[in-house]
Amino acid sequence: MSRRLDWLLPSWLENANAFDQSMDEDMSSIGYTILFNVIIWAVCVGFFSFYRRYDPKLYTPKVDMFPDKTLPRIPHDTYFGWIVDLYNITDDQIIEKAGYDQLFLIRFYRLAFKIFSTFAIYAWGVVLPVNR
Amino acid sequence: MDMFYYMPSIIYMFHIYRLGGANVSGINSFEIWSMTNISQGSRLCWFHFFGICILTWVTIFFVEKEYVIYAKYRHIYLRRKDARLRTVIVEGIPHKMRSNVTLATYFEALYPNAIVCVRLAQDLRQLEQLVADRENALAKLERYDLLTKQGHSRPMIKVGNMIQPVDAIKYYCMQVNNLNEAIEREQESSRRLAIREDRKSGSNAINVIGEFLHVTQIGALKRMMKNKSGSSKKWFVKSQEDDDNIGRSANDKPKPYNSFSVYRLSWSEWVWKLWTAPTAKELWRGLKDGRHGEYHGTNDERANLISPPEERNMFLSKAFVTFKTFTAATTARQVIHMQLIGRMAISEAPEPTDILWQNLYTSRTSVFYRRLIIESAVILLNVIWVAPVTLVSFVVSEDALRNYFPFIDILCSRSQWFESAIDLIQPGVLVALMMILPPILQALGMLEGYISHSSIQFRTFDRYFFFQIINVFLVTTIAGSVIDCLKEVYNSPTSTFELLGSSLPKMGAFFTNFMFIKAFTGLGMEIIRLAAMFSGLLKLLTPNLTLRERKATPLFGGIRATFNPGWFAFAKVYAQDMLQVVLCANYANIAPLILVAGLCYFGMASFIYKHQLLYVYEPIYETGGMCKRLVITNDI
Repeated sequence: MSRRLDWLLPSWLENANAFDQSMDEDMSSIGYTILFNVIIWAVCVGFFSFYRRYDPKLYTPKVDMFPDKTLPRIPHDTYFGWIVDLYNITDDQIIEKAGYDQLFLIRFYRLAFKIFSTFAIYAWGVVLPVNR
Repeated sequence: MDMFYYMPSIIYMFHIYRLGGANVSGINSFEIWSMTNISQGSRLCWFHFFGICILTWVTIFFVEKEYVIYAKYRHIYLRRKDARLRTVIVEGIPHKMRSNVTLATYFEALYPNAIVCVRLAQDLRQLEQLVADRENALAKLERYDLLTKQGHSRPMIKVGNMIQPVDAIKYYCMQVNNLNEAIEREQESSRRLAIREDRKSGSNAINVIGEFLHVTQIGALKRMMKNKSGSSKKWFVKSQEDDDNIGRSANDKPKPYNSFSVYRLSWSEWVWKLWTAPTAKELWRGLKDGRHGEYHGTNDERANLISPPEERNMFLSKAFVTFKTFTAATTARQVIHMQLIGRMAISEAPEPTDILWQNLYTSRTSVFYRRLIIESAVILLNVIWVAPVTLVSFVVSEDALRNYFPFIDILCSRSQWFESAIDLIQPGVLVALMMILPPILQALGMLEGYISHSSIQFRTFDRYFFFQIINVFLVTTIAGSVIDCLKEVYNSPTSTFELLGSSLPKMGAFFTNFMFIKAFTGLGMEIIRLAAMFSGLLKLLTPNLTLRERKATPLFGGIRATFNPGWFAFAKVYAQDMLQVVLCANYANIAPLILVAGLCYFGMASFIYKHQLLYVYEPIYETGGMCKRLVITNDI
């Protein structure tokens, strides 16, 4: 088999170590990852919440391009008010202004969230203590 | 039934769990909470086995509920009165039927009083080329005009073999005017050609369809059509007064095409045809068709419907037919209209904005061969992906860079920070390498001949998802190339379970890290449109751009202004996020802590993409959620 496949790719071009990932990552490395990435996330969300009030065209270009296919801009009164306003947008409004394909993408994330959050009860309640 | 389909995967997972967690010594603080902490063959593995059963049941439960909602929305979508939903695309139309009148008569006979309009696709490549030339000339004219207005001297250019340069603005003004006239002429001539073809075929439509229906042995319909003779007249596009303009009387009968053998070329004719081919394309067509270009066997059905070469190629083999009712359109989609495979194949028409017009010129035979080649190329790409990855590691790995550049070695030995930065180059280049894959796969979809953007997206999703499963999930887990894995499985098929059983748990921490990065940094970058900001900055930093150049999207749409975000790359995002689902599903039992990262990701993604899809990305097409079924199938 190996001889049969060697014509396809010479062995010097087949360095498996190039794919190799660290297997030594422990809770501390995961903790650092979480800390570092949460900081980046907070900076991004903070920047978005702040800057959207001053340059709405950057963060809502569709409103200018397709005014009839977009909901009106979320009010700029407060920094984090957009979160509540966005949450209150219904599926029917998404269909009307964005379309069915877009709604089903959003529902795909919700579906994954429902499946894994339900299973998390067993995973964290039973499997985690068993592993420990 | 669903459980039946899941049985193989449950058996497979059971084997993996039974064999998992071999290494109980030397485990780290993450592995304490994972399956690695359980010895091989321990009875505790039954908890994991029940876990995968519960996960399967939970998935089926929620997917079923989701399907009910999907069906509800799909019904609402299909009940809309859009003409698009009542329009079908007909492919593989026989040559003799390639006129609006003939086609309309045919559909009118089969579906009485159910047709709104028929539009046969016309070969307008000449016109398209003229329009493209005009766009280029306009772009140059605007550029020279801008330079002049900015105070530069009047630009002069050399044209062709002329010795003296000419005024660029005047030259391009003249070019645009000439092209405007040429486009107008071409539009008019294409329109006349279509009308003439309709008139010419109008009187013969009944006979052509009569032959067609006769050879498909639907004799009763033939008689019915004879009684309806004259019904084809209503499909004429223009009135009688256009006859003079067209230059041909409507009463002129087309030449009778009653002898099939007339259209076969003799050897000398064929050689002459090749010799006198005006373009390389014509030469290729002559070679491809051969001397028997018009002869494909002894099938009566095909023989009756063949036109002489001089009447071919003005119309394409594809047409759009709009019905009055959705029921008639659905019936037409389900009926087999011709015995020959692939002829008169009817399917749902894409939206006009969704259609990739240049691919309408691709014939079905060509699509078949293209598909064969491209599918093989994609499989090959999956197998040999290790080659570019290896080359990257040769060139930009930390060791390689320190060897090639002594000053990097010195700086690395002096500064820990610099060494860490150098160490990031290789993963960065690998990520960039992965980033170019979706555009490549989309380009392959275009070359393959798909006629709509949405179908290219669906195919790209399939391929990219499969690619990631092989080259990100499995290869990273096993730390070897696809060829290595194949060799391993070939030499010892039963070792597959042990290989996965021992490798999967070890990578739990790595994938948990990966998912946290995707959840926080990935989505954070998405909401602030970091890539768009950089791209827009590049445009802003480029001086002296005209409005047209500012709106242009070079590098396959990679560089665009911030106010022009383009459409959402469904294939890329769905495929990448399906990988997150695969990781969560695989590791939910092995390393349950990955679910923290997974829930963070899916929870925030549904929220952030809601904003992006509503307020940022431009909707290019609407398939009514056709992708949902594909995604759920892959999900399962």
